[in-house]
Amino acid sequence: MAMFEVRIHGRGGQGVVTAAEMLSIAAFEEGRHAQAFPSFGSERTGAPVVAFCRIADAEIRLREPVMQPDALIIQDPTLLHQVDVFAGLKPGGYILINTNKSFTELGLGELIKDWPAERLCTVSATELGQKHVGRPMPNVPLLGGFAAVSGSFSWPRWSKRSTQNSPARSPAATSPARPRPSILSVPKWPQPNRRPPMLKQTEGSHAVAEAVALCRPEVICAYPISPQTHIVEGIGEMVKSGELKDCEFINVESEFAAMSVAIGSSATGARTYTATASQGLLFMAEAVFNASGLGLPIVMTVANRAIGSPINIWNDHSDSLSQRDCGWMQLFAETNQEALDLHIQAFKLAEELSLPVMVCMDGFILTHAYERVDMPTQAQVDAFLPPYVPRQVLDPSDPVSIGAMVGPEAFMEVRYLAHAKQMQALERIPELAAEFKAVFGRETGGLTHTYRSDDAETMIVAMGSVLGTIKDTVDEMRDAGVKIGVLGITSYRPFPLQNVREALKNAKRVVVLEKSLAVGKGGILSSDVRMALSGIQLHGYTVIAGLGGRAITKKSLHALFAKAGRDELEPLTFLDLDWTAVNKQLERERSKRRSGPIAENMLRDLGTVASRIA
Amino acid sequence: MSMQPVKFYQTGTFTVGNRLLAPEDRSVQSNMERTNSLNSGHRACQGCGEALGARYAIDAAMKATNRQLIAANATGCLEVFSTPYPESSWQIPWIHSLFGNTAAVATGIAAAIKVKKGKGQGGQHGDIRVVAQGGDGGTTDIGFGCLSGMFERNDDVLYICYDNEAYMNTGVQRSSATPPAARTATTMPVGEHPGNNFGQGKFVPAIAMAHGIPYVATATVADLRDLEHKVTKAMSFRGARYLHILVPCPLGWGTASHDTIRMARLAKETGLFPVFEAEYGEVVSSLPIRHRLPVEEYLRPQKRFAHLFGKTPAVATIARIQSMADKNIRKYGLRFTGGA
Repeated sequence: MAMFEVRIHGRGGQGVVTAAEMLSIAAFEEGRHAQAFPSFGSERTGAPVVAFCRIADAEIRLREPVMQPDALIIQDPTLLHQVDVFAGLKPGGYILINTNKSFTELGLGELIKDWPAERLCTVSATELGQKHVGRPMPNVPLLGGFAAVSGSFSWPRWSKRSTQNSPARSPAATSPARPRPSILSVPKWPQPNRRPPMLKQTEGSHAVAEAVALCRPEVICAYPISPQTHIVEGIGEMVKSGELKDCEFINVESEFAAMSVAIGSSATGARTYTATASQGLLFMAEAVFNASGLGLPIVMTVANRAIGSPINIWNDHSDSLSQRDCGWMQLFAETNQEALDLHIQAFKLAEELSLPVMVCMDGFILTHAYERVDMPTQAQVDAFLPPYVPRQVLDPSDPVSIGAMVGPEAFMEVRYLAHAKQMQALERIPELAAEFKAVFGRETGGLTHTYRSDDAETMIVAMGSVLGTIKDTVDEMRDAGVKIGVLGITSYRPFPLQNVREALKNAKRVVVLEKSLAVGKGGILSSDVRMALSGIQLHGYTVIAGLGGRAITKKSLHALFAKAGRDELEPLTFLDLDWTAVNKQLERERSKRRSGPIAENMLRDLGTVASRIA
Repeated sequence: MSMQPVKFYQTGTFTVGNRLLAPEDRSVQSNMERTNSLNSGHRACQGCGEALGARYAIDAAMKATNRQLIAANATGCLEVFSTPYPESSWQIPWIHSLFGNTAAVATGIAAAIKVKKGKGQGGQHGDIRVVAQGGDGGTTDIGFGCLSGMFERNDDVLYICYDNEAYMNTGVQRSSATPPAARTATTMPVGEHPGNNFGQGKFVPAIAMAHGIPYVATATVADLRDLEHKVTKAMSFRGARYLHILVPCPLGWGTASHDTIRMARLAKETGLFPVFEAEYGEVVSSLPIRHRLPVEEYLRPQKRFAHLFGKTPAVATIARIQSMADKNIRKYGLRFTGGA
């Protein structure tokens, strides 16, 4: 699969992320698949920022950072001596630098000694930005330079987007070099600009916002927490602009209030939506249990993020898995398309069963990634999702008491009924996926899905976006003759014990790769998987990976799966754990009573984090 | 047996709804068409001030809204005694969610009502309105964040706090509405400074006013006509409204069940509980003290203050409490100046 990978370095405020997004849109407009995502961080203005863009002719599943770029765009030359910007750059790769100096003047003479001259380019992008739009914004001029050097894109593709998102609108940026032959194959769309109308290149959060809006929600509660903010921001804008009618958008004072407002509105018969992540989910936990106990079909996006301390805004599954027994259903999305589709299914599932649903999508990795989605039409969604008819409602014409106290005489029964509803969901979820396909023409959802699992001796089990990277790795291993396959779990609650058992029972070994940790025990997901495999003799491995946003790379997975294949893996493995750092801290604690705060010690040992790419 | 003199200010308190008066002079409770929103048969203690306050408040709200009312209820005595499964005393649509989220639940109800109304699916007999209610713990402590959020957004909710000055449902523990020197299970009358500390606690009506919301009022179960009037007036406003009702608790205060209304009246007549109304952050009226009494009259009958009246009366402490009452009288203009 031909894939072209670009890495953009700059500083907060220079439009680095926007540049990657614009590049992906340009590629999309020319009929290609593209994926743009930032090196997710809490960067402030001026801090080093990295953004990535992958361009390919087929769907891009890989979710690791761009480790070996085909092209580098450096928006700020002062980074050259602070960040290892050239790390992993392919020999002869494109290098664009925003500078009015030469490569030699920048001290890069040695680096480019044998480099093909046509792959090197400097653009006085800051000056161009200043001259044409009055702001030192280098991103668009550099993209113009990139288009010229690579010969891959025609300039006008950016112009529309750039006038919306950045002040730059100057064709002057096309000046640096002559157009060259394209680095990728010809556009896929039969005619330029004649792409299928519902396809769009957009951010995961915006795709979900649009999908939720298509579900005609009536009350939406918003409280900001990264990385779900873009979703409710997007919906809030639609409510304000009148695009989304008959909907109340409420800015609440906490996640606890968000879920509580949702409880009130859902109990009054309104279709209700909110979104949260991480600490926010924990802060609303009491109300989360209450919503499911009351049987209110609220739909909530969880933009999966680690739980502190140490505070960490990056992705793992600790948040929603900590709420695994709260009575909500939990559906995990692998891609932005699936996240979008699952929201539409979630409303139907929730309302049929009168039980709330969390749609879990990996924070930043999906929420902040620009990729191609097929946006349904309102007519399609209306055909699939009927209006909400509540089983119980606060209505003065027929007064009921909701939320009464229940003693030992009936509490067990009430709880059993909650379980029974989730068992019904085990049957309804695959049916809903089939109904969804009938209307939208796409396979989305279901309880589980397998990939290249026929005759597989090694089965990898995972949830969420990491499945893409795993599938790419598995493809390569299959090409090398390894009998390896994948089981992706979409429905974490209810947990499809039977499907998991069926999918894994013929394997020799099962590796559960999970972005969560049951401290003091090992895996959370792997416990569920082991229960499904009760009585079956096979090698079972738990791999804890990607905690707090640690990149899960194809390289690491190759080594891991190979080791598993030789049955040399420890029963519990922490992928890419820095043992030196861990042992150093353990030694420190052995030798000194006041050994200090752990997190700070680790950071001091590791040195400057901002200089790292992944 | 000595006769109890009939005091002037007892007339017109309507404690039994004035059911001996002409129909037009009766209060809601003696009206034959009363809704009995909180119906009889519930499991409140004898002499429960909260049950009395809630019954009057919700019936008045029902009348003001043409029976188009939904209530959200915090965890606490009111919730527990009114809805032991599978029984419910509520004759209105009622929801209990959690201890600390009632104001937010009410916001959600109000939002849903607004959307439904916009879609032509509103109440059949006029607009549906929302009341949120909770005790002082659910209001001034654990529910305070949600309460402030609801105020600040000016959501169309009347929040009623039934203040009995401690966590009675869990066995009389201190709340931020517990008065200084009061004994609770967590502020025992031992040590150098017996009872609850001075210089702590908060008066939520004043904080509600600071949000600039349309209507804030206080009331007691000693003057139910005034209480009904304030509920009715609150329902004439749109946006966030707050009503803080003092509801004596025989169990927690250590008073006789038949003294609930007397205690509420004494709280008001001593000046310890100011009864007033405020609109958009400014006091617009207050209920004057007709027959001012020293705080001792209020404190002495309550076992929670018994340690102040031992062998050596805590004169200094009582004086401190008196100065709090004096301050209220100055601040809220409670001195009776004659007239109607």
